Amino acid sequence: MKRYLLITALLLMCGMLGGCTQDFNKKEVNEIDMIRVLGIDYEEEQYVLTALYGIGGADTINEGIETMEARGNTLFEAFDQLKKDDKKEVTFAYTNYYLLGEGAAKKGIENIVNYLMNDETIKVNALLYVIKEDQAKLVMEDAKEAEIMIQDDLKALVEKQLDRITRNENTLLWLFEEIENGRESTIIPYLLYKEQKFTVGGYTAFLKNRLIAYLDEDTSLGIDLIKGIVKNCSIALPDGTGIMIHGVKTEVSPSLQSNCIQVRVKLQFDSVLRSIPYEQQTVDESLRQKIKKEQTKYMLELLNQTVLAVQTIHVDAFRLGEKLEKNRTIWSALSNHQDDYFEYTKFDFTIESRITKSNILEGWR
Amino acid sequence: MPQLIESKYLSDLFAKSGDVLVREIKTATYQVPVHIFCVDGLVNDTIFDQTILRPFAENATIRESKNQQEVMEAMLSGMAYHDFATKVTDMSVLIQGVMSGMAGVIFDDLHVAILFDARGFDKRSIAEPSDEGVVKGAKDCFIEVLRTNTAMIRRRIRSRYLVIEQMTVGRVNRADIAIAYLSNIADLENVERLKKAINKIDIDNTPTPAFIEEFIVQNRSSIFPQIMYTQRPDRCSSNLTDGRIALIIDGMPFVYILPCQLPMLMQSPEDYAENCIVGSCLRTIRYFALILTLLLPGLYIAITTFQQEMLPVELALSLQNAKQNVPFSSAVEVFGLLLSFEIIIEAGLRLPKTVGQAMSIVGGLVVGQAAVAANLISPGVVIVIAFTGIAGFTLPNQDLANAVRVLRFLIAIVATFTGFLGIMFSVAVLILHLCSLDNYGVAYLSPFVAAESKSHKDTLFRYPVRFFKYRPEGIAKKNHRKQK
Repeated sequence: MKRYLLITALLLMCGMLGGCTQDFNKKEVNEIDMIRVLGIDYEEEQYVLTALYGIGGADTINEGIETMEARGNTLFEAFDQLKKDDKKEVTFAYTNYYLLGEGAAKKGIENIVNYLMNDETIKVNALLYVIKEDQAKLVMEDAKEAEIMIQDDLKALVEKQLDRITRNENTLLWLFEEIENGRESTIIPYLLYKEQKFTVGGYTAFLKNRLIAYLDEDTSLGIDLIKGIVKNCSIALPDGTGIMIHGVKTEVSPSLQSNCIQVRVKLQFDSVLRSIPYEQQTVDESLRQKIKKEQTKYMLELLNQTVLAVQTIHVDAFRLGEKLEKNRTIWSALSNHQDDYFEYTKFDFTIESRITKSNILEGWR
Repeated sequence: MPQLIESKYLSDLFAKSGDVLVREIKTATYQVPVHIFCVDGLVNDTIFDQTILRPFAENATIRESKNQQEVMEAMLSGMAYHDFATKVTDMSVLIQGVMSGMAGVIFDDLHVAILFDARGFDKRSIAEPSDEGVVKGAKDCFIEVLRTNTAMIRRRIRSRYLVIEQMTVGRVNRADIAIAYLSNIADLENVERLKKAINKIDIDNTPTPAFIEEFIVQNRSSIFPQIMYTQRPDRCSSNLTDGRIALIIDGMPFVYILPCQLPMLMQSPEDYAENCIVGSCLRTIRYFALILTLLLPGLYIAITTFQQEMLPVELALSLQNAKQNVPFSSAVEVFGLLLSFEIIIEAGLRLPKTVGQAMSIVGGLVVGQAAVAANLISPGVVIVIAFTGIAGFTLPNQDLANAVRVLRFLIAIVATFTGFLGIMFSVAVLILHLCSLDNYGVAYLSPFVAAESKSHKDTLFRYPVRFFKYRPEGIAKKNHRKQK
């Protein structure tokens, strides 16, 4: 009797658990359309969704890819329309990329991220990109016309990005947490679509969750360096020396100094010389010191320009606020300036680098 | 049936049985009559003639005996040249002995008979075990003759503590059963419990293992095998030295071992013949295969029907593409193919070996290629079911493999209606059930459920032999230490 009761209880528990989720929504794998990339635009006071879904293993690329468009005054209406228009059931469980058109980005990402995160089937680690000065819809249609597998291109792009930086901070979950924690400024990478090719240009700066500026590549690199998320990168010094930087370590220590915040940023990295513009193709100690000096100068300029750029648009791209919040003394001292602390912040950079090895013949060898 | 031994009664009883011999012979000098009673074909003629009949003519003591009493005493005192001679006074014991192949000499005046173990029926030679073969290890296996089997065990355990108790079972067939155990190690309470269970068997005939097995298992409603069987004398002897009990049944070419736990059923003799690392790897693969063969069909149904998001996108697309033109749902595909697979196995078992192989190929081709080509099933299902089947074949114990075959159907059914949640529920119920099984005082899942680390040296991994210091927990009641 006890056993039967136990089994009944287990069954009931199973039923209740099942009833509380969508797990009992029985749909065969071939009865669903898996959205791979979703474009979100905002035009004429309406949200426009462009969904790209595919049937894998099709004979030709065109056969394997379909796009679908849906509009709505609100995101809910647009998503609902998308679901209604599709003859099969739509799932966002496989959507790895969300492309935001400029219009939608300017309209604000807060409601987009919130809406997506409310759907329990979406992937929280899906990546959000802004299409620079263009509409996601147009880009996706053009790419389809050109038989470009957008999802594969984006995947390759992300993998390439992850060779350069340690993490992607444009996931839905990351952005959702930023918004939830009340951080008004954030940065999202933007994509350039030129000659039917996608490339990552740099960061889009968002203030109060609305797009305000596109940052150039150097500024974006500077941001990554200050944030300490760079794995390796290549720089070209003004004299033409090509350097590969790796092993980057960043230490950021904020302190309070006479009405302003002083942030000491210590950057340590190793460099590898890849090319030198001199006739002398061997590197001796004096040339090494010269290059090192040039490199330090270049890096300092890059970092200072970065700071200047982001301070001009008042976007805390370095997530400095998070660091300050953790430091009780500083944060309480900033009681009246917790919204505009970034403007009163001074940065002091220290560069510690060493040229560890070179692919170029060295004099002492 | 008369209690007293009378040759007249036996003559009448077996009058119509041509193979049963009840014949009068007389001593040479005083013509003292005695009757010989045996079954033609079960008795070794040479032994019978040379050791029992010949003394009647040639041995002076028997020849000169004046009455049956003197003949009997002479025979028992060694004048019959046979060592296994037993005096019986009970008619049923006599009949049973003769029916099992012994030869009897009946002394009507005394109502006594002497049973000589002159058994010599034809038997299968000792060949390699068909199910438990090893590359590196002994090649002998048990046969259908009880005495040969007990001898094989005795040959491996030359201990004075090895006890082989003999009993009979079956109202009509009166099959011989022997219980072997080491009296200084085994749990004697379990021996008694087993004897009691065997004595309780009250059935006409015990033609197949199930006729005995079902009476001695303690949880009859469970699908899991609770008695291990082995064809290998070396495996049997190592279990005996661990403190387990062996049950040898005349007519069955294997020996039962009990108490049995689940980990025992996952062990293969090969594990101990190989290097311990190799053995551990093989065993781990077997456990992995057990999980796969049990859950894979259910998982496939659950994932393709309910939790598609668990699949990587490329795999999901590939499955989607493969299923485009298939008219059936994943569940129907899986059940159809599982059923076909079982039918092929069954057909393969019934057919002669050579035909069976050809049929397997044809069956595989038909089910695999033709069905996929005809869009009846998707290639993914073929792979899943083929893998499920192959994984099932890695299980060393056929009883366990059969149990798993049934259970995977049940899990697949649950998965069809409730998806992954149902699978988890089934697994939970299965674990609960396994935990609840108590087999002759030992938990079925031991030593997995044992807290002592010393018990885990021969479960998922096979430790080096030097670590096997203790006998399995709960099996041996005394002499726990195996080695210094």
